[in-house]
Amino acid sequence: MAIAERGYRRWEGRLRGRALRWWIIARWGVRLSGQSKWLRRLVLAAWLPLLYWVLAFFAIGQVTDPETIGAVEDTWQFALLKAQFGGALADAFVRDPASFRPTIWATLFYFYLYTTQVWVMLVTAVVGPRLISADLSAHALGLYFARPITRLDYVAGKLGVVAFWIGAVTLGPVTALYGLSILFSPSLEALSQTIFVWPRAAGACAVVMVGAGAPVLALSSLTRNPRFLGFAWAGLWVLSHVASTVLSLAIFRIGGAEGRDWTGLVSFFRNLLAVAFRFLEVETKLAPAARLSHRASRWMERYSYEHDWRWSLCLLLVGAALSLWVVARRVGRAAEEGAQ
Amino acid sequence: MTPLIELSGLTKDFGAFRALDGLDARLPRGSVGLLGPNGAGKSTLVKCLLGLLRPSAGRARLLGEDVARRPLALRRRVGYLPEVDCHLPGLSAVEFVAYAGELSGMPPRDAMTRAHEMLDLVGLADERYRPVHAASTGTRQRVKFAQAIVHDPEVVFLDEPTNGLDPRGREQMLALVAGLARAGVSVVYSSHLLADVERVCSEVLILREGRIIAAGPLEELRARTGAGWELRTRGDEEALRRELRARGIDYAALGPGRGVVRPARSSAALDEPVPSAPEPVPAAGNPDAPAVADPRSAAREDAASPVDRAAASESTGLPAGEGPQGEGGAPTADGDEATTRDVPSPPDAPSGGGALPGDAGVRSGESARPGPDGNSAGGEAFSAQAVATVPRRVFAAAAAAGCEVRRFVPLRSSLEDVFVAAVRAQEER
Repeated sequence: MAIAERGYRRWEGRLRGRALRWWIIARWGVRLSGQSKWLRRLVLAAWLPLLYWVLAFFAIGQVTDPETIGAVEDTWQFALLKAQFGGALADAFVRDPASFRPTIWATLFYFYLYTTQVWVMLVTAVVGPRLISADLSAHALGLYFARPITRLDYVAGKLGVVAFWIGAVTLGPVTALYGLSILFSPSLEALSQTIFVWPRAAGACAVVMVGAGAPVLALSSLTRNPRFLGFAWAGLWVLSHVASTVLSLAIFRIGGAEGRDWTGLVSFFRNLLAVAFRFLEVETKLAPAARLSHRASRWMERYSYEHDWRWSLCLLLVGAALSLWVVARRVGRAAEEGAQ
Repeated sequence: MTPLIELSGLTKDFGAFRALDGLDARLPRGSVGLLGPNGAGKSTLVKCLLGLLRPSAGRARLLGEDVARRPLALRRRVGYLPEVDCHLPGLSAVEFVAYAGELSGMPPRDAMTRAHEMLDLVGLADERYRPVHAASTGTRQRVKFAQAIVHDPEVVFLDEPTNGLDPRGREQMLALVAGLARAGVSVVYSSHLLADVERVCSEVLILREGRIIAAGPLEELRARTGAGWELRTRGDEEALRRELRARGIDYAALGPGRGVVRPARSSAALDEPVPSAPEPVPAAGNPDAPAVADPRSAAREDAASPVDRAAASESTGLPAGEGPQGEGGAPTADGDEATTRDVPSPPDAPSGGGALPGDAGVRSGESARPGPDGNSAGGEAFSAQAVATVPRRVFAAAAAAGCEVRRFVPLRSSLEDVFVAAVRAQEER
C-alpha cells in the first residue's frame, strides 16, 4: 500500500542532543556550495601549484639520501634545489641535511601558504556571499530557529562552511604536502626534525579560516542580494593591499624608512602572511641560512614584517569577533523581523 | 494529561503597538484552531509559543513547559509551518525535508528515509528531486508541511497552511491535517479561513485585535451561539407561538408546520423555572422523518440577509466570500434551494444533530406562516444553561398548545456564526 494511502505514521526513533547542530548546518552547507562548478574548478586549480612543491620535496628526498650523497651535483634534483635556494644553501643542505631541514621545510611551507592567499580570496568570494544572504532572501531563518537551533549554532555552522573551503585550499594541500615530504625523505629522522611544521602551518591556516571567513559572513549578512558581494569582497582584499603599498611608499618618500612599520597592518594579505610567517618561525629558521646564503638573507629582508606580528593577529581576531557579532545581530534581527 | 497550551496574561508589544493583549486561555491537546482576521495576532501568538518572540509580559506554556524557560527543549517536540513562503535555497524537496529532520535531531539516515515517506504522504513522490525554489506555490506549501512533521512532533503549528493552494490542494492539505490529528499529533491551526478551521479543529481560540474573544470546544461554542432547533409540528401554530413566547422562546415559521425555535434575544422567561413537559417519544423508523441534512436548509432560510452578513463581515474584518457560506446552492431534502451557508460536515467533528430529543410524536395542530421576527441565526450568544433548557420548554409549550411535535432537531450554527457572535459581544462590551 502506498504511504499516501496508509496515512501519517509515527516515527519510533530517538532525537539526538543538540551539541553538534552547527556541524549539521556546516555539512549541508558544504554539500550545497559544492554544487557550484566554479568553486570545484577553483579548488582544483588551487591544488595544481602543489605539484611544484611535491617535485621539490621529491628532489630534496633524493639529494639527501645517504647512499647518493657526493654524487648529486650533476643531477636535476640538485639543480632544482639550487634554483630554489641558491648554490650556497643547497650545498650546505646536502652536506648536512639534519641541520638545514627545519630551514628548508619552514621556508617551503611558508612559500606555499603565501601562494594560497589568492585562492583563499577567490574561494571566499565565491562561497561566502550567498551563505547568509540567501537564507535572508528565502526567509529561511524561521525554519532554522523554529528548531532546536541557537544563533550560535547557526553562525558556527555557516562559519564552518567557509572554513571548510578555505581549508580545502590551504590546510588540505599543506597536510598532503607534509605527508608527501615525509614519505619522500630517506629516513624517519626527517619527521622528528620537521614535526613542528604541520601543527604550525595548521595554526596559520586556522587563523586564515577565521580571519577571512568571519568578515565575508558579516558582508553576507548585510544584504539579501549577494550578486556583487563577491566582487566587493575581492575588492576589499586588493584595495587594502594597494592602500598598504601606497602608504608605505608615501611614508618612505616623506620621512624615509622610519614610521613605515605599521603600514602592513592595512593590508589583509600582509596581516595573514605576517601571522603565517611567525607561526612557521621562518625568521628563526632562516637565520643560520642567511649567514651562508645571500638569497636567504634577501628572503629575511623581504618577507619578515616590520610591524609586530601580534598586532596582525590581534587585528584579525578582533575583526573576526566583530564580524561574528555583526552576523549574530543581523541574524537575530532578521529572525525577529520575520517573526513579526 | 497536561494541556496543549496555557496562556496567562500573555502580552506582546512591538513598540507602541500591542499585538497580544493579556491573553488567558487553557486549551487541551487535539486540534486547535487559531482564528481571527488578518492582524488579529495569530501569527504573533504562534511565534510566542514557539519561543521565536519573547513575550512583553505574561507567560505561555506549551505541552506543560514554559516556552520562555526551555525553548530549545520544546522545539524538539514541535513542528512549524510558517506562513511566509520560505525554503532553504538550492535544496531539492527531499534534501530540504531531510535537512529539517536532521536539524531537529534525527540521525541522517532516519531523516532521509522519513523525508521520502513524508513527501510520499503529501503527494510529492514524483517531485521529490526538484529544487524547492523552482516549485509551484502549492508544491512548496506541501514541502513546508512535510518538513514540519518529518521529526514526528507532538504538536504542529500550521500558520495559514492552505495559502496559495488551489481548491483541490486545499482539500488535500485539510485531509492531511485531519490525518495528523487522527494519528494523535496535536495541531494548532492558524487561519483566517473559517471553513478550514471548522473542517479540522475541535477547539478554537478566536482572536481579534490581539484579544481572545472566544475560546473553547467548537461544538460548545456552536451550541451557545444559538442557531436554534428545527421544529415540525402538527396543530395550532399560533397557539404554539404564544406558548413558546411565554416560555422565552422565539418561533420563526418556515412553512406550514415548520419553523425554527431559539431562545428569545432578551427574555426573563429563560431564567424562570422550567415547567414540566411530557417526555418526547423517539420516532425511530418514522418514514416521514426528513433527512439529517434538512435542518441546515431551515437554518439557511432563516439566516441573516446578505446585507446583514456583509455588515457582519465588515465588522469582523473577515472577507465576505470566505468562510463556510461560500459555495451555497445545495438542494435540500424538501427540494429547497439553499441560498447561503452550505457547510460541509467535518469528517472528524462530532455531529450535533440527532442527539437531543427529536422526531417525537405528540399532538397535532394547523399550519403556520413565517413569522415577522425571523431572527438571525448568527450573532446571538446564549449561556449554556439557557440553551440546555430550550428543549424542555419547547415540549412544554407544544403540550400546552395541543400540538404534536413531529420533529425537533438542533440546527448547527456555523463557525462564522460563532465568530460573528463573539465579535458582537466584544463590541458590546
